[in-house]
Amino acid sequence: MNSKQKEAIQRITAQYVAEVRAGHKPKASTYIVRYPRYANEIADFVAYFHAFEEDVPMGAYTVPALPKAFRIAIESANARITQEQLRAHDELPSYLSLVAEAQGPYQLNELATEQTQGLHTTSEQSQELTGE
Amino acid sequence: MIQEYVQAVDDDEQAMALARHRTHLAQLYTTLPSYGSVAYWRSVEESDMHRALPLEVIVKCIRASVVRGDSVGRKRTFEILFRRIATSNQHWANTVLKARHFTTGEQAVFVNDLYADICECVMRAIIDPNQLFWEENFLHCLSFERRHVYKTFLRQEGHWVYSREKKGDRVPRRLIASIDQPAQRSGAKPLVPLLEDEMARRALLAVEHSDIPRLIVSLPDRLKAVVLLIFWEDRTEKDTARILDITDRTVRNRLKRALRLLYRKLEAEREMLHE
Repeated sequence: MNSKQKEAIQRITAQYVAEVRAGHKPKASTYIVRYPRYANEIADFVAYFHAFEEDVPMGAYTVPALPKAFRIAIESANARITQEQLRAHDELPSYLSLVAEAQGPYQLNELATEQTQGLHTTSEQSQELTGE
Repeated sequence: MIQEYVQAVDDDEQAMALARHRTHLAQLYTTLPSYGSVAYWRSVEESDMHRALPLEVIVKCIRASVVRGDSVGRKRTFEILFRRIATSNQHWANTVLKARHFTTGEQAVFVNDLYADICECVMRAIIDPNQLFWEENFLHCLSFERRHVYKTFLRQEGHWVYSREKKGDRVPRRLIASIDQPAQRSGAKPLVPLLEDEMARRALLAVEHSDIPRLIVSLPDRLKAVVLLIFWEDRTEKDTARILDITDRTVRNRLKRALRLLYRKLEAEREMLHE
């Protein structure tokens, strides 16, 4: 499922949830008939919603301090994501340094020397060939 | 025809309500004090829920800190976000685990695991600028992430047993003991599977109506809609076939498979409770 489809399903099911929260009793079948392409996803979300989300409080009226375990969880998730981002950021310079290493002898002055040597070899070889 | 008209009117109204909602959120965000100022943080960290910014705007604030490369600001905003949804997440984790019959010690450990997973999933989703719906309906996106975490949790803990129906499973001992086994004529359909189907149907009908969604969640995706329509919406098999645009026979086959899986699940739960 791509992100566009995911968003489509989220929008469809958000409508269903809004109806439930408004005190109506929407039918999953209405949504399935309307969006047959997403029948399985709608059924899956509707079942999940009624099983585990319907009674979950929508929002707190106070902002509680986080328990220690939860703080640790947030810290470690944040650290992991930051590390990943740094690694992704570091990849570019390291790639460039690899390219620089791979350049090897292809510096302009070295290239010039190489060409001169090449010319010498060619003249020596031609001397051999001509028997001079 | 009338139904289509009503639907169109509903759609227009919904589109207008959505546009108003988006404008309201955008206004709240654009009228925030300049990023990183004392006044800005006072708004973001407002603890009076009547004056606090909607969570959708908090998401935009996090994304702003990501764009600016402000990791300290990002962390600070995430913390206020997680504090505001802590009660909801904790309640959700307890609801999920209550359904799995864990011991108190196990439950405490799993609550923390689930919480850690949901934090990471939410963080990743929010820093992904392509997931725009978070800026429009935060709580619904949160439900989606929690569903993902729940499924992953079931798989990790080995409770996701219905992804593929096992072949050649034994008939439950209790079922065998409860029937007098009559001699079977050759060519006749085997009685035990038929009986198992009937037992499964009865077992599911005996389940509290409010428990049915929980049972449906762990079924393979293809079987969910059929069970939902028949057992949750009390539709007939014929009606279900029409709604899903499949044949009656397909409905019956899917139902049969689903009932067998659910019966095993119910049996396993009963055994766990007796242990």
